[in-house]
Amino acid sequence: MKKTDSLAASLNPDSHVPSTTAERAQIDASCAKPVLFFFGSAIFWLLAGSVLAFLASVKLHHPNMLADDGWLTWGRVRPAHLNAMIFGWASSAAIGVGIWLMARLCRVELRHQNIVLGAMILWNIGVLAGTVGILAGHSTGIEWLEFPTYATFLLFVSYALISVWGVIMFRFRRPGHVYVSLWYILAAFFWFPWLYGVAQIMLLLHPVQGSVQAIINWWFAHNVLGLWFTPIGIAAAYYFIPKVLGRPVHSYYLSILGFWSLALFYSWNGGHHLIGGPIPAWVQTASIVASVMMLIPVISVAINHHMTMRGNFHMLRHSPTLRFIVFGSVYYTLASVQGSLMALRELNKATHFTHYTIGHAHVGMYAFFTMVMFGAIYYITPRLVRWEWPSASLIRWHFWTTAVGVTLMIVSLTIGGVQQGLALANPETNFMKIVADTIPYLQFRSFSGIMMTVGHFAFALSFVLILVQAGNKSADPTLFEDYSDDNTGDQPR
Amino acid sequence: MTAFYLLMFACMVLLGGSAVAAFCWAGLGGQFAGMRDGAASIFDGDEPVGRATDAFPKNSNKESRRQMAEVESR
Repeated sequence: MKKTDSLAASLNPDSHVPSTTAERAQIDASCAKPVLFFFGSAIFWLLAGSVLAFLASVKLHHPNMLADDGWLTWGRVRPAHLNAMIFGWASSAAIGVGIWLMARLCRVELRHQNIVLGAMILWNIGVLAGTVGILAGHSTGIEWLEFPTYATFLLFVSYALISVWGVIMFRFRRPGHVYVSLWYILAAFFWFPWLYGVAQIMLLLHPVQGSVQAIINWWFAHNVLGLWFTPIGIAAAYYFIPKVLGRPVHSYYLSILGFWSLALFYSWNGGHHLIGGPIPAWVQTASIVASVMMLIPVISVAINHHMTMRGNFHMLRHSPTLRFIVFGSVYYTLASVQGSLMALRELNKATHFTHYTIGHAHVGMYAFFTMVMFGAIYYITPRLVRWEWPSASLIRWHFWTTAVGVTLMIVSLTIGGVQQGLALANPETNFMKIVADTIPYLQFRSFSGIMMTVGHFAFALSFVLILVQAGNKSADPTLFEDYSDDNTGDQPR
Repeated sequence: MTAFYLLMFACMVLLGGSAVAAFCWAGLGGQFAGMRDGAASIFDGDEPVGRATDAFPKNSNKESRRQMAEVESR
């Protein structure tokens, strides 16, 4: 290990740095506190967001439910759900996973814990103020940026702290190769405050005029997905799939190509939300072209993950992490290909302004990103708490309710959305009939949402139990279990 | 207003420029060389290629009862 400090090793990027279990344990222990706090608050917001989702969903087929209370009207509950999930659950989980991966891949202990803890506190105050603010009627009315300015300020400062911390960690990393996941995380930490800052300045502090607002709005909203959540999700997949299998990624070259092509194409995609809108046609066309070009990074990621898994699919039975992350990776491909196709003008005519789009949003944010985060949290938490997950059944419940739930939700919204879109395109059809025809699909969506919420509660229970170290102390916990000792039959290659 | 647009334009150039700079840094620093070693950089002596690192937790109660029964039967 001392050898790594030699001049030759520090100059040669290919030098392999051997690390030991003890060293890894030290790195894990150094980030335990902030990462667990981020996970804990993420799970709290996941539950809060699920309750808001339930209200928003049921109100679409039972509009009179809780309709007399201003705080709980659909127009407030729906953006509160979206923002609580995006900033409360997804971003907190992403920051937690990002911090842990960063420390592991830089191969150094977490530095400046107070910066990260301070950011965590500010972030949660910001999300709380923002969500309550939306329910109180202070929403800005700009989609994906509904949080009132007093909350966004806190979020911005908090995120800037995380970015600064990320740069410091990267600066002090151990010499050697920068693994592809680290590229993704570093880029995401760098891009998000930039996007958020520019969108806030150009839409709220110093608003630009006219339809340019819509362009900025969707430039931001799509880039939150593409340049913040997607890189963190792919970074996790690129680390955990090979790591869990004990098998290097199939084509490292493709993974690097995927990263740089994502960086090149994704930021152009936002305009496809405005196809047919009152913005210059070239903006729409450029965005459509970039959306189709996204097939390059998407296919390279898909080939890589599939080929790394090939011959190892039996491992899905044994590893909770792999099960969630491979499910998420498959849906990443589906979400992205669907997104590229939806950007085409002909298809967009049918799907725009329908429930189909909501279905697509849940393919991306839930079936891909959220499931990958679940998998990552299942891997990371036992290593931080140094305790085994108390119940395999709870994990299985979590997986099956969320996997089946989100799939049902996507199917119902997709079929309902296409019907709705085709009917809307026909001027002969009575509008109220179209609305009434969507009701069975919306009821089905509420049902699938309840299923997913059951899974979220199972997950939260698991997380609380592992934190309080419930259950018998296992002699060889999951994390250090030598797989070959397991009598389950299949052997890894 | 002009100053505002200049600032936004500068932001755009800086953001794009930072990506180009990172790409050049990676290329010149040898990050694109030695792809095979790069892929293997997340493995090491204690968690080598060929060993899985995650599994469902065993049902601890059932497992410990089974182990106890084994001990008693000896």
